[in-house]
Amino acid sequence: MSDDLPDKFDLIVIGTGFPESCIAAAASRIGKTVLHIDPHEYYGGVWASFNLESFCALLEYGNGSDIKNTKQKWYINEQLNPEMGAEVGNSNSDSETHAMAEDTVVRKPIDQQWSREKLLQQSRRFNLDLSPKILYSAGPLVQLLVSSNICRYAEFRAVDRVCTKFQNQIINVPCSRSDVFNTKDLNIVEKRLLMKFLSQCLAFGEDKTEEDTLLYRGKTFREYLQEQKVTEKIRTCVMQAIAMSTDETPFEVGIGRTQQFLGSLGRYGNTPFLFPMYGCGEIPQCFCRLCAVFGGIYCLKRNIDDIIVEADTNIANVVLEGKTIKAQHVVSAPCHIPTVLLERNVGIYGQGELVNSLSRGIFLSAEPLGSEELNSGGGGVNLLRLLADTREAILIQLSHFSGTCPKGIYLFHLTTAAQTDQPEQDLAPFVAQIFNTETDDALKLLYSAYFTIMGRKSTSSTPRVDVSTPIFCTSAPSYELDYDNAIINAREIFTKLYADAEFLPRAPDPEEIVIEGEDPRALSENSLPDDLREQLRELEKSAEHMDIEDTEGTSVIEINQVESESQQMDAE
Amino acid sequence: MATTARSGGNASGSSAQRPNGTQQNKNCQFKLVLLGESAVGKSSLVLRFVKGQFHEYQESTIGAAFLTQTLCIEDTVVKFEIWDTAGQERYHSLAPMYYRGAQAAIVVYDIQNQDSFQRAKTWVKELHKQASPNIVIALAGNKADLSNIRVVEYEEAKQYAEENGLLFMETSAKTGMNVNDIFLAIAKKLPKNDGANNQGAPAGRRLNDNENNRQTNNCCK
Amino acid sequence: MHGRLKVRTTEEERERKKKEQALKVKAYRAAMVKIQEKRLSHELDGEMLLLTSQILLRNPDVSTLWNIRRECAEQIVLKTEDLEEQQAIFETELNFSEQCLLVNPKSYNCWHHRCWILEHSPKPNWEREVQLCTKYLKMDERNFHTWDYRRYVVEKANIPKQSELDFCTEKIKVNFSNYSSWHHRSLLLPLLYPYEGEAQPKRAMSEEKLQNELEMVLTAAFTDPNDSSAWFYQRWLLGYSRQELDVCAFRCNNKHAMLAFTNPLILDAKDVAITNSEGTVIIKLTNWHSINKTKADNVWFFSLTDNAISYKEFPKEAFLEINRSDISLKKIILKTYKESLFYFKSPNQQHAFSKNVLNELQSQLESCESLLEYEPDSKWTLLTSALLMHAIDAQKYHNKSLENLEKLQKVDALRENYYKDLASRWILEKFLLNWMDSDAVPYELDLRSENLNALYYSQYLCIADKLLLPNNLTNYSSMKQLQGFSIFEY
Repeated sequence: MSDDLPDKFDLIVIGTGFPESCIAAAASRIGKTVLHIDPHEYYGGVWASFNLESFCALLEYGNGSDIKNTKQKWYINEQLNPEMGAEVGNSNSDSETHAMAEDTVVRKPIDQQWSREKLLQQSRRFNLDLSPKILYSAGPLVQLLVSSNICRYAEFRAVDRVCTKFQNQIINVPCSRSDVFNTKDLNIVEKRLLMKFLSQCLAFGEDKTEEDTLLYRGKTFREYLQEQKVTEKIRTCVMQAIAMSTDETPFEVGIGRTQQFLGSLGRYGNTPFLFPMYGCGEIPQCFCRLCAVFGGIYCLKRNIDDIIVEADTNIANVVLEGKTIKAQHVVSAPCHIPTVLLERNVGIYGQGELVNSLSRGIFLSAEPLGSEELNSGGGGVNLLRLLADTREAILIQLSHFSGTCPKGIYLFHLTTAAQTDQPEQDLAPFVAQIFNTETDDALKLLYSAYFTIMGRKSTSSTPRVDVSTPIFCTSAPSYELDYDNAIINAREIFTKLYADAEFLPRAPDPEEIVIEGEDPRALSENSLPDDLREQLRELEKSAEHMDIEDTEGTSVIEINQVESESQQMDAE
Repeated sequence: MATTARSGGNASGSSAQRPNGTQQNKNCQFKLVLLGESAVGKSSLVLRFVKGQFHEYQESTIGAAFLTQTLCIEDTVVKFEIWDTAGQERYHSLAPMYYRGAQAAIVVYDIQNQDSFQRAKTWVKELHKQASPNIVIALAGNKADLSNIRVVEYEEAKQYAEENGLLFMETSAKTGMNVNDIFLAIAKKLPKNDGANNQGAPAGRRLNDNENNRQTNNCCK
Repeated sequence: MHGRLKVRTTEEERERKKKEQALKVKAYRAAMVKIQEKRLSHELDGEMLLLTSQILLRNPDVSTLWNIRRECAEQIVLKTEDLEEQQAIFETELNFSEQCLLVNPKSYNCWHHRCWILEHSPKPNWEREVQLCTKYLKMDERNFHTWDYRRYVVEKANIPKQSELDFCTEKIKVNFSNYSSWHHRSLLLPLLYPYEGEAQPKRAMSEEKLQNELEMVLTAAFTDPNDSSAWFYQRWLLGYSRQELDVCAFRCNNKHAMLAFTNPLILDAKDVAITNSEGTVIIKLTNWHSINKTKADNVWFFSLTDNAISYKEFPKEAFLEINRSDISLKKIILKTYKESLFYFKSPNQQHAFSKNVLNELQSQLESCESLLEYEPDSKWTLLTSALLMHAIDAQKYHNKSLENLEKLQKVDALRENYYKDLASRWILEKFLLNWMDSDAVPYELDLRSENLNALYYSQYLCIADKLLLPNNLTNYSSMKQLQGFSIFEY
């Protein structure tokens, strides 16, 4: 099938992860010819989402070099045992405690129990993200999606609740004004103080408060918070969930994040956050679609054998399953750079040693986390940021409303920056905070999985990069809530390729596009509002006995009416 | 070469005449995806339906893989958001997000090309597996103006469609034959009760929906 | 560039728009001309409906066209006896007006059209209208058109008031910055939970509910003090601006009489008489005049010229009888001063709240005070605590609440006079309360040493023989009420 591929492109992109797709779309959008390939048979690379079956297979058999240190565990039986229920099978539970539980636990009816088989039957209802993200409603990705008009390819769910841990309890962080009004977690004085504090944060940076800003420059956000007249509970909410800070976060950063949080409120839902329907794996696909719409060619499951740079022309010859295709530039995901290049010590922009980037955990349960109040309406998408000493992790709880798991199942994504090559160990302090197995009311897990997402980091042994290299390597996902760094990475590479070109200008709406052979000035009847179209048709029918043009100027008032009417229609 | 028909009249010509100046009181929007092998005339069908145009040597129009058209059915305005594959099907690389949340699909084959018919069957299978369970699927045997050199028999395709619960029509983007009809048939079959759009599947929201009427629910305004 | 993307230039787009505009104007004109022709020839038929709908759908605020539609509907309905057919015609109108509501949910014409249709149709479906309101209030919970319409249809559909109250609570939870919703509550609560206690003026609702409401509204006010809707509701709850119609002052000697009310009314000749303890009418007071020569007034006087009566004829125990349905206290015992009878009830006398409400108010006051430790200059906290203190025990907290108002004049200088006025009101209330039991009543009212910025309750002052005003208020002395009983000395 590769045979009929053109043998020359402006750009070849290898890997369909977020930054690669973003660059492919941007290049295609400005008229560059783009070949976008992926050695995998799915879109998204380490930014992809999988159904349950494929995900289990991925963890079982591995996936090249980008996912490592995998481990998965089922806590339920292969099949439902009608007599015993679904609770046996946890190999760790000793038989004695189990026998005790037998007497006290009221068994759920069989149709509410889960077995491995039953879950796998619904495999396609799962969209398990390798790199789950949460978007600020006014954050860089949302802005990019809207400004480029890519947003029409995706749907989102507003995150239902932002939570935080306070005194060993998971509490709801009131986000909007109505949240503050309705919450039972704060008394009225606390409500007032929180509202006042937030408005104050929003005003920071405006001229009149410049003095205050200077006062805290160089201090940490925590120090600033401690000097504010707020209670401990509010301080916790602000630190952990609003300013997304740790004890070391500088004042300016904390204020900046608080402002970003506040600036994202009131746009789409009750919280400032969005989550893509069907998982974050949709996002790179949206960019790929834009690339394709503007002529980009897509080939999945193609391996790159080698890339040879012509010394004189600096053109890259990409060897694709035996066929050589020329390209001005090549952009590749970190794990798809052919090893022969590394062996030849070719300098590649953004290249580095393979390192552990993110430690990930994925958990399935039949129960949501936290109180009923936190999960009213069946639990939606809840966000919980966790702290343990100086480290932090992000927990995203998803219900079937997000299109990422079947009804009755709750999916938990836990992400932290990798410390070691043992993701389970990296995540242990956070897992202990949420799935505390010591207590009776602990969440019962059905399945857990751990893995590491790999990235690249330049070291002293990284080959020196020639400024003229036509090969660019994107970054693996980093520890961040939104896509800020990933977008910066894509934009930076795009600017290296096409210095003066606009990055993802707005794609025209279908009505604006002139189809070949069409008179661009002609008024297409189809573009008229539906009722007007019909009215005009009827008008045509009855026009014979009426002289419409002559009515012009019959009365001044009428003309004015027409004008104001017309303006109103324009405003629509 | 380019023939421009006044399709506007045709497209909504089938809308019921409304007595007494009544207007439709329901608005429904549906995502409709086109599937089928390359060069069977997917884009041409849409262009005929939406713009009333046909080009003999149509290259896929850059940037135009997303079109909208409205139809009136009795008391309902049905707005189709039509997604064209943008050529991503060519190397079997169609992204799954393409048919995500689609309420309707037209699977197109070329009546002169047996392979394209087989490929259409694969797409139907794929849809049954991947798409939402109550998706309305129509099978379109395109290039019916060339029926003298057909290789896929009408009866064969019709039987397949019946067995699989598909709507079926032979169409011609060139002459316009059955083009509006197939969209109309789909519109009729789609559930049009209020909020029909999110039946079965959980509902998400588009980002550009409320750019104009942003709430002022912000803490500090 | 075969197959490349081509987008219309702005110039081309402008030309297209212009053409489209021209078509729209043409269509509009043609329809208008046709409508006028048809109206002149009384062709109120289906075609007329179609023509008007084409314009109204794009601009639902052309009242004339709605009138024409009503005429049409009436005409068309006349043609059939069949109720089903008639109903169908109205249904069509109903659907059409909903289409227009989508265009402009705040169109007076559309909502009014619906009322008209439902009033005229044989089988109005009021429940459906309630649901429509729910739908529209979901889109915009602050659309007062919808709230007004809702009250109307809820009444017709016999929706239980409790479920309306619940609906209202839900809406406030979504967005409490909502005058309409608070207002809706203020209408429902007094009916659902009427006040059955002793206090005069009556409380808005049972004290138990009042306590809940106070809590809710203070939460709203604390969450967003800049939202005035909550403050308005809070004031309403605290009874701040509510004063029931009542007699506030009366004086009568053998020459003339003076009668003052809390609120203006039109006093009828039959309304007032002086009786003795047996209930025998001693004298009917019939010939009343408004002191300001207006139709309705809060002070009325008359001269006992024709049917004069001497002081000696007044009974030992004299009563003032008021025969009006809008005044609850019908028989008032009169006091004597020299050769006159009088009655005086100082304004806004307070009746203590029940223990529960008092506790609530007290805890709100404490919340305010603890907040003032954080924000000593917070104007609305200062004001609320002043209002709370005034509501809890105006006498006890008199000085403290005035201190708050004084502070407010500084921290919120823009509203300096508002606070001064409020203080004047409270000062005068206290003064009149003391005056009522003093030796000076009704002979002399000496306000000279009071720190007043304005003169409220002027009708209360009319029975005094002598009114001494502070220097800054001498401009008030021309007020008729204030010349009071003394004007009859002439």
